[in-house]
Amino acid sequence: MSTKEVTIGFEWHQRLKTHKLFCDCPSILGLKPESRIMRHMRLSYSELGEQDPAAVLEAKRARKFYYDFSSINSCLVELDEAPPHEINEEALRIAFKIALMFRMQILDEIRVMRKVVLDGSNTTGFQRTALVAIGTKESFLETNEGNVRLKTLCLEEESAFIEETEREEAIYRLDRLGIPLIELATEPDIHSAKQAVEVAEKVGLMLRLTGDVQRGLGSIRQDLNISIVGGSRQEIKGVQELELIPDIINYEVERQRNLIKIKEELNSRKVKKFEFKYFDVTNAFKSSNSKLVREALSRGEKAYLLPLPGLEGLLGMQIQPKRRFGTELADYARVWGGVKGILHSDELPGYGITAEEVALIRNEGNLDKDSAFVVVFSDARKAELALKAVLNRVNAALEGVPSETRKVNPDGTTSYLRPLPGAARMYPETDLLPIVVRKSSLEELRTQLPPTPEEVMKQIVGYGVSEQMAKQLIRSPDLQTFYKLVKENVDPVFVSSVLLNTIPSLRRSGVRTDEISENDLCSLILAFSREKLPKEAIEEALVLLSGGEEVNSVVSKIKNKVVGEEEVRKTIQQIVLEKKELINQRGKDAIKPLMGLAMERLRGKVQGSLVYELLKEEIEKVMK
Amino acid sequence: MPYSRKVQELFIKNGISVGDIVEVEAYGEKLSGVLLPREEIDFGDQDAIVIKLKNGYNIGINISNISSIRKTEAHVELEKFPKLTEVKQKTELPRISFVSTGGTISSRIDYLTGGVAMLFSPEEILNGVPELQNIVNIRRAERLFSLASEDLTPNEWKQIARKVVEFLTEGDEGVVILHGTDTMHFTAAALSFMIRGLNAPVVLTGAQRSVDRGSRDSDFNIISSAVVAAKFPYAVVSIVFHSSMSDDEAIVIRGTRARKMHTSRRDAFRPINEIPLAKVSKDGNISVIISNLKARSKDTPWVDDTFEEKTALIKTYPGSNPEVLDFLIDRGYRGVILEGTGLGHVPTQTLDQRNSWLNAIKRATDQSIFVGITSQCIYGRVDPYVYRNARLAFKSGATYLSDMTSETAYVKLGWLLGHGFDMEDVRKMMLFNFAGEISDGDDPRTYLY
Repeated sequence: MSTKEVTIGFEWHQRLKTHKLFCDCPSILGLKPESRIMRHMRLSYSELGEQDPAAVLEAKRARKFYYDFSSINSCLVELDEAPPHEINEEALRIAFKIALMFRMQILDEIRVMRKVVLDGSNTTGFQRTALVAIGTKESFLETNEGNVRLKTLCLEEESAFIEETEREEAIYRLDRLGIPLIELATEPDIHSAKQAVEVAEKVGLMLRLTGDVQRGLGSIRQDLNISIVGGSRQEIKGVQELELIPDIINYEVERQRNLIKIKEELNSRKVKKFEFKYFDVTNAFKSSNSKLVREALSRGEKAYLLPLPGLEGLLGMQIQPKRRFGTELADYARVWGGVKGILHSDELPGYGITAEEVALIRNEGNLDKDSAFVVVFSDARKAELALKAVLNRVNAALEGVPSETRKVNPDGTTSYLRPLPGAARMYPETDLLPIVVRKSSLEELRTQLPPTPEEVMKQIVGYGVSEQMAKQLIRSPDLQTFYKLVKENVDPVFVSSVLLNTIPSLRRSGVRTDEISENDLCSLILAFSREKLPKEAIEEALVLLSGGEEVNSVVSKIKNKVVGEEEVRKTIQQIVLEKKELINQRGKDAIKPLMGLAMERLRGKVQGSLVYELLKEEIEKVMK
Repeated sequence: MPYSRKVQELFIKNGISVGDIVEVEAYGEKLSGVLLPREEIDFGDQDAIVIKLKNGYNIGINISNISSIRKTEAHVELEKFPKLTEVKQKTELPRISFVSTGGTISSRIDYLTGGVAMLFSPEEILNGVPELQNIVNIRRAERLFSLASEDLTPNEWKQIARKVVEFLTEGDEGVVILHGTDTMHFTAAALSFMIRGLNAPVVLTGAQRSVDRGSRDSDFNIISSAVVAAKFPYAVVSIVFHSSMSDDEAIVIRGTRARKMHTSRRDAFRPINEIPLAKVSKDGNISVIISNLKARSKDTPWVDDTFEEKTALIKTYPGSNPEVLDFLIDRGYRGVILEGTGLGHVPTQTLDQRNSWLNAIKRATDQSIFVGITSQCIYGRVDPYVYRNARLAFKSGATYLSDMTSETAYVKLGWLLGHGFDMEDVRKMMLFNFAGEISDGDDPRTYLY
């Protein structure tokens, strides 16, 4: 892609390592819920004024929201049964710190807002959010392809975790609701996948270096805003893996380019905007042997046809790997109509539907050979909603690329989620006072800013760790563990080697190193350092530890194995005696193969350096 | 706090007023947004101007950081509420009317400023809660006042009673009163006594959550209340409110037995010393639990709304000073409810005699001032015989008010005293059951219901 064809903006949502934002509940996830409540979400009054009350009534009957919770991490605030407590000071301080780190301007008076959310993901019907800082000329990230400006930093509450969602109801868990997160957004200054990855890595790293952010799956989510020339802006939600970013961007560019091609093709075919017309074609399937059809009919569903004159061949056109234009239409049918999916003319005959049946459908719908079509099996109400949505999407294709909110699929392609939100409805959180920011507290924070990635790199290399290891370490989740141990005077090279080599290699060979807590790991490494245990034994110790053994017992087991110098010398003398011929042949150079042999017999019982010294002495003795 | 003088002068100098879309240069950046007013009491920085940015966020910028502020052509009208849609009512449905007295439930929010306004009409209720179209035919909706319920006095109870009777006399099949929650149970008790010959259900309801939010409890409460007003077979004053923290069931609590038992939960109203009269499912089905109630009738209700203002409700506690009662006596009070402890005890045989309430009680009753005793246990019945202290208070002339709530006892006493009955009659009538406020039952299910 050419540098300026694509324009990308980033938005990060990073959870903070502190208790919840508007109550004192701990930010613990995954506890077994003990209770459940049920709620309905009502439209807001101002929305009511713009809508037909009958339609509103229909909308309101729609969904039940169940909320599962444990009283350990959820209180009346999460249940929307009590007003919010004052904002979590620590979270606010972390947000300030991050803003200062990115040289952003913290506002004088911060006002918590309510952002309306009616999908049930917030028990209140809104998300509490506050704009904490804005970008200025000073706030940018340097990249190899130019500066990327930062736009805004907000502090907000995390939504509830969705466990199950159906058209009529959804089940949420409240443990996640209310965990503080910062939302950091850039201007759309990114123009390539490579630059996007560079920015994402840099920001991720800087956030981690604060030591104040949560780690682990889901604790950071990235949204990408992508547009290409001639296309339109897409908001791609919930990118969790950095590795996927280049694919997402490349596939999106591909998608928009293909949609532009489809538009050009439709225009050259002189296809005009469609009126909504659809037919019941259940008759065409009366004697169908297709399993899909028979099951649908036995559920009492009917077949409805949406003719698409002039679209023959286009529905099957691939626009992203494994996704066709028809797949985009199916997304709309699912989201708006709540149907399972659609069938379209470019995939038929298929699914057990024969060429004869296709001919019958074409006949029923009075379709000519240039006409494509979509069929949906459903009840009448859902079918109408689904087909209308499909038609709207087709009509939008005549204009080009519609702006959408899309979600990421595991392979990096994206699916339609909902229309791009309009200007978010936000109004003041009237239960809280405005927060007046004191300059003095900011000045104090300025002195506590985390080091930049460059500074950290320099420091680690200064400890004698190789540059390559340092690079790995800085990106590793164990950086804080490294610092903790180095502060305790453990050899930094040893620590980095354990964290970056030993543990990953054990993990690869199936040892459950993930079961080892950070505390136990630190105690073990510390013990090795203090007791001068042979470094080679760390592997065995980690295996024992991951098997659930106590640190103390692991350490004493390793200690028992350690042998005294006399015994080591005896073993070495034995080896030297056995391999006298080799020594005679190779002289001093024999030390290399003999060292291997010695370590084989003494591994884990003694420091390798001692073995080397003794072996050298004994070989020299023999050579005399 | 409103804007400081300094800020106001800046506005005047630049010809700017609240609602203007302004361009501000601050921190070296250009920002634009709607200039908002500051709330009256927000403990914020009066020198900070508040603007709503295009992205929806409100922010405050201290004028010391503002290098310029300029008014643009555009202006936004604040406190503007959307137009209501006309609603065709189904005339065959039960006719009811609404009375609004204020409180959270009858307010509407201006989404720009967060300001709250009070508006009220049948259209507005139907636009807000469209489900009502299929339940009732709303004949009238009237806003009597816009008061937080802690600001209500017995005078307002009287006005509400008169309005309800007016509506019922005009043929309504039920009346729903939207009310602040804090003292709703006082009003419910007052209406229970002041409306005589009641012929149809009168329902009070309110909201524990602000009405701007998707999760508001008001709509469910209003729907359930309308169901009770339209369909409940009994002529009784009740409070209808969420039964639990879920939006799936409402309870109907007798007006003289209700109490707000939680500051913020949506199931705050509970029956005291009684179980609910009925439950209302979210599909609008009523299951009656207590049925020995007065049936709906063609009776003509009337208002009997006298109230003796010199009535008090006070609480005794360790170290409480009986001079409080002496003060009331000296000020010409006609009756006092003492909310005692346990089975209805007040400090009696204290080591320091100055802490004993006995003399003050005796002094009051000797002057024909009624002294009634209830319990701050809230649940259960008071008893003058079990302990010597209670016997002493009883002997001094205090009346033990059985299983009546303190709030209901206060309202009932004021109402009775308003009639000018003599002390002996007041005593008898305080223990006479007028509106389900007192009973001999000790149903174990009632505790913490």
